[in-house]
Amino acid sequence: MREVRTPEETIIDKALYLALLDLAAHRKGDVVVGNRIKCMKLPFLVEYPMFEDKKKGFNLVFFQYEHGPISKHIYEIWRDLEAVGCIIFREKNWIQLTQDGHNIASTFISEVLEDQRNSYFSERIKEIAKKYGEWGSVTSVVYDMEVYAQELGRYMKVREVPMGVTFTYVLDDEEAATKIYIPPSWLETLAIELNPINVRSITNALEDYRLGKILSHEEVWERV
Amino acid sequence: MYEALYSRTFYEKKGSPRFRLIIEKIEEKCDLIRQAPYTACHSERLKGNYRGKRSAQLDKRLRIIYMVCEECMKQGDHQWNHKDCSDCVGTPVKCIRFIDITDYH
Repeated sequence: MREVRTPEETIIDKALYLALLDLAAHRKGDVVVGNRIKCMKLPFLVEYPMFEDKKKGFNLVFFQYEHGPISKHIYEIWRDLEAVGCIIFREKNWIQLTQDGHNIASTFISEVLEDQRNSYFSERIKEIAKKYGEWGSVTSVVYDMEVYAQELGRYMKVREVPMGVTFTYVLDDEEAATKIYIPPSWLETLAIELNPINVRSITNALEDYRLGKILSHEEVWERV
Repeated sequence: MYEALYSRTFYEKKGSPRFRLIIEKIEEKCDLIRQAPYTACHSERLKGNYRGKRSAQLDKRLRIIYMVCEECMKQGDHQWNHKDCSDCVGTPVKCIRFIDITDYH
């Protein structure tokens, strides 16, 4: 187990999180998923049982903080998803899924998450989205969860866990009983689509082709 | 070997301080892609909004993004990509269009 994610795990987390938001928003019949606290707790509700069962889907490291389990990785995901236009923050606190976000999520869900090999992960995410998507807050549900506090070496209610104690780590492939399957072509696509720097850069490069800013092989490798 | 065209963005990135130390590696990978554009460097055809483009591994954390004109025609990506290439008519089919060098994470 570790705390640092590989590039592949970072991509998978963003995609699964976007899918979770989409499914939760859809349940609510709205595009607003919930406030920051709810959108931080939903992936914890999905990930914790997976982590306990050694099923490698999400790779988010959650630890106890002022308002229950949080993950710094979620802040990074919010930053990237907002920058690529998949989500927007309404009144600074409410997370709304955009049409672009919904389009990417729904294609990912139908083509990847619903693959038979991912049935465990798909069912788990859908179950949480269905159960809590319509709820205003999931904080009390999370506080009442019985969890294993890693540093203390025992099970206890989330509300009793001291600040700073870790709930989940990144599972290594070797210690995982199963792992979500994402085809390489999808991983490559998501690495661009959910990374704002890549999106901007490719948009500029395609604009070059549109505007005729094109160079030959000889010009690029200075053999003219 | 396929002919090759490059976007100005690709050219500028290749020459930037960040990539200066791996410039030979970039050239080597571009040559491999020109020889076998569908299989070289673990090439993968992209999905969704990036349909018609390909991603090849420059290393674990970097990718070369490109299009193969031949594939664009054969797979019907032409309809999707035609707005991207001002010089489509008259470009040989056996041509690679190098688009960008991107991060993988």
